[in-house]
Amino acid sequence: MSKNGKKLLEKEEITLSMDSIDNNIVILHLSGVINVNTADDLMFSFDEIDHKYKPKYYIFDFIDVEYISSAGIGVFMDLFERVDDHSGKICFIQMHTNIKEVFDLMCFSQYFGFVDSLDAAKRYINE
Amino acid sequence: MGTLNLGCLQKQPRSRIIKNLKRMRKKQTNSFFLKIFLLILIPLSFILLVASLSFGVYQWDVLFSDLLMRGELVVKQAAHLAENPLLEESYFDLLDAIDIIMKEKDVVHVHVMDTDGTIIESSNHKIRKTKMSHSVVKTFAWIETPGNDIIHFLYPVLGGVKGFVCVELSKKRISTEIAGIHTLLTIFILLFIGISLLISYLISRSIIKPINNLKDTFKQVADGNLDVQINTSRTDEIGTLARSFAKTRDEIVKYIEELKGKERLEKELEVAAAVQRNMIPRELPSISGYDIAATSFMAREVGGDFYDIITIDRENLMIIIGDVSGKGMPAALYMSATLSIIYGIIYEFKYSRKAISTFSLLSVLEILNNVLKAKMRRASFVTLFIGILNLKNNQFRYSSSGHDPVILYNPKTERYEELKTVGQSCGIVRAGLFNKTLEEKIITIKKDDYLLFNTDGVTEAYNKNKDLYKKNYLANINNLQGEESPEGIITFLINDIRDFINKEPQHDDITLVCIKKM
Repeated sequence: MSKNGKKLLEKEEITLSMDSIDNNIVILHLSGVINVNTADDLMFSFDEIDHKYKPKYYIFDFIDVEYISSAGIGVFMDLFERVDDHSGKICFIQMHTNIKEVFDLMCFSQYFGFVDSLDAAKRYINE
Repeated sequence: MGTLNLGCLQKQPRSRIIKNLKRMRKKQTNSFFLKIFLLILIPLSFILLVASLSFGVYQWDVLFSDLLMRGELVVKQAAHLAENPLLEESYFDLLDAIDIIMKEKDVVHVHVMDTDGTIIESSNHKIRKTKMSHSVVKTFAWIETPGNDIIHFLYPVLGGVKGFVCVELSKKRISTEIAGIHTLLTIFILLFIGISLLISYLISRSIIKPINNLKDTFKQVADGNLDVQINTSRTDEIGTLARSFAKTRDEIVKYIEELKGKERLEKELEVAAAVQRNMIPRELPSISGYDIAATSFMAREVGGDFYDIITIDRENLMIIIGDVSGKGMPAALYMSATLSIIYGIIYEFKYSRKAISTFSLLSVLEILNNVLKAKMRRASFVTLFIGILNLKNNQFRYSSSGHDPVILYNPKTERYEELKTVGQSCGIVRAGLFNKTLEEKIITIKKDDYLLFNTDGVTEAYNKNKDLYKKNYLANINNLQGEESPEGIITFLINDIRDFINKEPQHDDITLVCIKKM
């Protein structure tokens, strides 16, 4: 996974870059903090991706995400609703345990895939 | 530029100071006008003066050259006329020739000399037969004696064989003409100086007038009149200055409006914060057998955290703690809506007079999810922990929708439980997905049990290294000795969180509720 993909969002606290878009699968790399200050920007970036590429599947590289707040979780749940309408899927790669715990706590883990590698993410999507 | 002596300023009466300031301002303005006036006048006058003097000198040169040219012609004519009389030695004819030359303009005297320089014949009979002071000439010559108005023009007759002639021409006429020209020039110079004065005055005024206008405008703006019109069609530096000032004035007006808007917004936020403070209990109910304390700190003026202790009936107490995703005003509005919905459900239940056992916590969460899902902004949701404590049998029935678990800890018996149920946050997923995951649990509270409710602002408070407070929170709970009061625990935790995050800003709202069974 590369951090040097096409920059879609670059702010003080967060960076979103697109590694590739192919076969309805968009692979995105996120780094920084997803909180109330960055959640809206992230949501609008997802809107743009959806509008421009209309991907069915999203793979997020979360290795460099340090923190996610409830507002950030909401953004991914909002994306899930949209993806779910088209029978799509969202998968996270290398998410830190403390962030995964937030998803678990809110009982949102069931809607996403959590894996350790890109291959595993592609397998999850193709299941 | 004048300077103000502050020492004097302090001693002078106010009216005198104002008068002095006015005089100084006027003096400064006049000084500026005078500088521009002189700056234009001096070079202009100098140019006119030099031009006039040059013209005078030129005129003198022209007239003098004309005189010399005429002198040469006249003396040559005289020599020509003297040729025959000298050859024939006819002195009468020589006198006739002299008379002819004497009729020429500016001619004073005509002398005819022999080859030795002795005057043979002259218009001045007294000097006849005398020796001429000039030496004998073989070609044309003219002699000007300093301090004398006469110029002598000499020319040989027949190549000097028969002598030579001398014609004296007076410079008086050209001196008179030059004097006339000088008088005229003096008049012109005075006229030019007058014109220079007028031009300088008009140019200075054309510069000073817009500056004075601008100065008056500056003063009006400085006095607080920001509505003053600043119109200019000038394209020079003054126009640029006026437009720059107009732009600055517009920026000031805009800034003031923004400040007013900000002030208004701050006041509205103050009101909103006061309204929100009223939404959470001002005083906690005093319950026999239980000690309760709670607090809430918003990251901004208002926020999305909330808690409440609601008496349903004599035996049952509802305890609520919740958190709206995000913070600030939107979160505060959703928090108010959530509490209003819960209160509506409780009052409806109260009026139904049904048994408390029929009060379904799951129904509360389902209703909340339905309403919030329909009305909340995208990606927003509410996490909620809701429980009913029966004060008679000490049973605590609870349900959670994605909220942090409540910690039950008894330091004396070392009973430790995390009270959590499956359940997603309200307002984010459709009813079908939401309802099927909900569950309700029940436990019995025993003596010296502590119940600690928190929002994620507590567990997820982080320092500059992005370390979360969660571990410290759980460790602090585990270190309880059993003697601590809920109020003391909350005070300690809040101080500990502040120490932990150190200088980092508070990122999220922080809410804590602590209940101890006595």
